Amino acid sequence: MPPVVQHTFKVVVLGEGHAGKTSLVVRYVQGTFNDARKATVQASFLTKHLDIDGSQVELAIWDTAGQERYHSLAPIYFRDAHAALIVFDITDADSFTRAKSWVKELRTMVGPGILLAIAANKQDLDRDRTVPDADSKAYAQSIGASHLQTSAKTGLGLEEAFEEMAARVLQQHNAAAATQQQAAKYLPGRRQGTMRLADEATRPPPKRSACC
Amino acid sequence: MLISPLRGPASPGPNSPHMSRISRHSMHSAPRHAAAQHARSFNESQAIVRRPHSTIARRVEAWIAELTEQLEPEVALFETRVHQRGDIALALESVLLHGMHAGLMESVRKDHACADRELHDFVARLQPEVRPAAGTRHALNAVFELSGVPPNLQGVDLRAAVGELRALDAATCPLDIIQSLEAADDAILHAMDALSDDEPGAHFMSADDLLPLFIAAIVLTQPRFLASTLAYVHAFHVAGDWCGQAGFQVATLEAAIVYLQEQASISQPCGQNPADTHQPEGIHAPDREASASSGAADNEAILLAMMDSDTPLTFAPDTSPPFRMPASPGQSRSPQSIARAAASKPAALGTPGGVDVGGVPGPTVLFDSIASSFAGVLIKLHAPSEISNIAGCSSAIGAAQRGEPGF
Repeated sequence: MPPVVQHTFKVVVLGEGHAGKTSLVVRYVQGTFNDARKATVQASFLTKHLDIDGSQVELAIWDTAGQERYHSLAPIYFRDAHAALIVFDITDADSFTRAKSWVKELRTMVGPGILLAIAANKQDLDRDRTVPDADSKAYAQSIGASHLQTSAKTGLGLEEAFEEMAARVLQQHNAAAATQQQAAKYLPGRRQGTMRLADEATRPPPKRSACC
Repeated sequence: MLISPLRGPASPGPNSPHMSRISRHSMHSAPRHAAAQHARSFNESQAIVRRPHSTIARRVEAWIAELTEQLEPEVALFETRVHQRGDIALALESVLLHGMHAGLMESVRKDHACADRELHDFVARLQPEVRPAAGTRHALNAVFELSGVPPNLQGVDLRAAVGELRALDAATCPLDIIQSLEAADDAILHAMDALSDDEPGAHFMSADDLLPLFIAAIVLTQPRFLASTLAYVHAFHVAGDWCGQAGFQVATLEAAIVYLQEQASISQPCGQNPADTHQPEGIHAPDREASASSGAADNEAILLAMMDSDTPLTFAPDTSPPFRMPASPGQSRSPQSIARAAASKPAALGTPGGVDVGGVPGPTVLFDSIASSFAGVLIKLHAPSEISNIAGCSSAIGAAQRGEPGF
């Protein structure tokens, strides 16, 4: 019997159309690349079970449409995400510029709470590189994101990318839970003279009753 | 959110005469932020009146939570097969909402009638005419172009996906909707698979493939209640796995709807603010401008009414029987009694005589069955399509009671 999942974390994967985000996710979850595949694989939504220091974690990995015409729809996908993996192609400077704009949008729409990781993808094409590694590393550091060198073709850096992300999200989740517990200790009931306002207008429609 | 009533929203609005005498720049930023926060809080609290669906959803959520707690000891017997609390909640939600569906959906559709109509009119205009003339293919291409389907996928046969999406308008609980969406996605995947023999490049279905094909399938399906369906599932899929597959399916539907609305330039259906859409009979939302001009005294009166209230808020007379949510601590209620409470509520939504769910048992009867043999429902979770089908649900219970093989 598979172990009971204790935490489900939502990870959105963002990037320009040809940055390789779908190949990257499929490679990580299913261990395959684009060649020698017999059947079409569902890659827009995938899950991966991880054991992080004894905690059973499920990553729900949401692919997003990278085409410009769907740009305005992206917030629908990254609503309530715990982490975002922003993928760019090291041989395409435009995709790096686009990655930066995703970061801005994420920060605006989701807030500073979301964990970010920048994946410098297609490391197997290093000879065609147009984005220096130092540039993307410096950028990642400037926004507090982790920086990962990945290749969907060779599998380079993928395990590390997602496991590091899951560990960070779990750590954040545990810290938040501990704070909540601590607060509950000091506020056992409703305080006299306070009222509860339902946050109706800003509440995102879906309730996350089944995930963390 | 906890806010002291003493710091209520007495701030003047930005267009008030008082405000005009104060230069915005002369105000320190902290009070300005606080004022904005008060105004926001006030507006948010008013929204409760406008959207009784959310209060109903909260009640559904509370019923599910309590029933889940009561049923957990029974579920422990089946730990090897069903072990997640979420499954129980989902089963309860499906059964409960199926019973309440007619009244709820009628109310939701009233709210979103304009958006539904405009979306339907838009997709109807795009619908390619079905005739064996040369123009058919061209018309279909126009749908694909509008949806953004990549050229290499424009040969995909969407008929199976369209067949699955036709079930959307007939869904009777949120799980029904999720399952239709999942089935449509699967059909798109298989259609892509069939195409990939000729198109060696199409190996996996990314979001860049799925979304445009899904939008095209929606256009070809022409559902009549798209906006209502989305609003309904958002409001009432309280046991939903919003981070997981269900959440992704609903997000895809929402993205398709927003995309089509953008294409149709439907910015504000019928000239309404989406937040102002719910105006059920007997409940009148306070006029926003009137509220703003009536000043701090009225605001404080409202705040006083809100203080010490844990029940959902309404500022209008509620003629329905008062809702009593269980019980004092330690005094547990049976699932049947809660189900009866559930059964009484849809009548308050304006559905005379309670719930008509097309000849199937109402929630009370249904809950009696479930409570007497909930195991059948849980076991059937392994074939989730059955759970939203009451006939299937009943037969599962019967089979479980008879101890038939496989149960």
